[in-house]
Amino acid sequence: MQRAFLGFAAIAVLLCLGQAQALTLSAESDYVITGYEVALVFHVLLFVFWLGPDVGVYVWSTKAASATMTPSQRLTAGRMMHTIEFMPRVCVSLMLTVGGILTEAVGLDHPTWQWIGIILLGPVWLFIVVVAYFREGTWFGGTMAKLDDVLRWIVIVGVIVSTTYSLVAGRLEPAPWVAGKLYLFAAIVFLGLMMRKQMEPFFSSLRRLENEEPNDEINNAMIASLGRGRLFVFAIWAALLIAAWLGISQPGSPYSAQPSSALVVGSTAQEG
Amino acid sequence: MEMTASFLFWKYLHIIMFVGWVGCDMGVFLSAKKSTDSSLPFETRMLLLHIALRLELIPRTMWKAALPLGVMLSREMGLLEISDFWLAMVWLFSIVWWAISMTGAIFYDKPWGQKVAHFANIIIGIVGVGLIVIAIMSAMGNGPFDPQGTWLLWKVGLYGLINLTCLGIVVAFDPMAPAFMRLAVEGSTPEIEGLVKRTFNISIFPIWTTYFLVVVVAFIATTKVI
Repeated sequence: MQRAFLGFAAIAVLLCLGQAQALTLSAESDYVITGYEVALVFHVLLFVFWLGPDVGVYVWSTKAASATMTPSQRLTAGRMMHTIEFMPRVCVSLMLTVGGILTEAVGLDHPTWQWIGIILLGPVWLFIVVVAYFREGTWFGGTMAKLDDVLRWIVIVGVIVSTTYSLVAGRLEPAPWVAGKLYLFAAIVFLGLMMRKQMEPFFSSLRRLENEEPNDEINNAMIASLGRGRLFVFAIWAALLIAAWLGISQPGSPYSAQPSSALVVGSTAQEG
Repeated sequence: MEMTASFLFWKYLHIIMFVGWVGCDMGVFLSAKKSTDSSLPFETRMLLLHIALRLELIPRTMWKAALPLGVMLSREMGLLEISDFWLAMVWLFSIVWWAISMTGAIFYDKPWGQKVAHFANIIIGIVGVGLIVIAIMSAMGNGPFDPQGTWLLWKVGLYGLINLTCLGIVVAFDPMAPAFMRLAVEGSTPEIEGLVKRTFNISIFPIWTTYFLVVVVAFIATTKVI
């Protein structure tokens, strides 16, 4: 925890040093690492390890629900879903903090209270996710899992309210696309909660396979539950892909449609 | 150069490629790791290995896609002078390379599939060494890439190296299929389990080296620090 805090503090310091760098798109080496760039790499990695492993979870869910598989194969498939899904959960927990740090670099100022919230959310949420995973089956793990659900609802409401307030107050004018990303994040967290709800019969039926032979009731319950849950999975993937596009194209930003200063310098040098 | 729509499009695809490569590969790694668990019934271990190899088709595709996508981005950034003809050749080569690689991977359990896979491995080696040479030549001012874009030269060279580490994974993991065939016939014995574990443990080195290098490449591309 202490290391994580120091890491975030280091990024914040680097941000102050490299804010100007953030608004340029360099085609040539600048031999400088800015806080913005470090946070951006983290941001991309979180996206990579969120969406990428989710494909594995999806594939294993098919096997878990398949009546042609043996109970051992189906139970192992369920465990693989659980194991691989840990990564996306970790990434979700850190995304808002890293994203919040990035928004400062694209010209969105945050009041101190908001900064504290942004910086604390990631480590706290991560702690809850990690404990809920590694202490699953214990009272503490169960409490953390419930707390994770509660925190997700708080995040949904908090993000929607604060984004709407910022939009109305004109605070997002330098980077209006950030509002889209934040709304999408809230939607993704909501869809994730709905998916969990739809998948409850899937997991309870899967647990029954530990003691029972597969039967039509179990198989049908799992297939139906998975079918409903998948609608939310696809919606989450679509939202993630749209959010990534918003982050890259940055529509509405004053600098997004203009030539990058660094690139112009490069072209001028070539012409000269 | 402006941040044109086409530049943004290729950049977007480049990042999605990253998701499909390293992100999906986590599922491959964890599934393959679980397949070495000797406490599981054989058919379950076989399923784990089979799914790992099927999931691996996504990273395999993205790793090949990195070549044409990187070329498109480099051209958009004005760091690579390449004619439309040669651009088409890069795409054609990448598609053929991908098709050969996928054929070898999908039909890994057939003798002719193994021959195709062997041929694909030779191509990987040539691409890896070729890209490292191109990066060095470009740095010396004799290659197709702008020598001023040193970060890109590092990317190209490291991508070449990644091809070689990926080849290392393929070679290191190669004894796993015969080991599983022996498991099917002879059942679990300390000798076969040792072979399975050893094969996986040896594969871990090129696997983690590849992950590390891909992340380093992403870091260099974002920070342009070298």
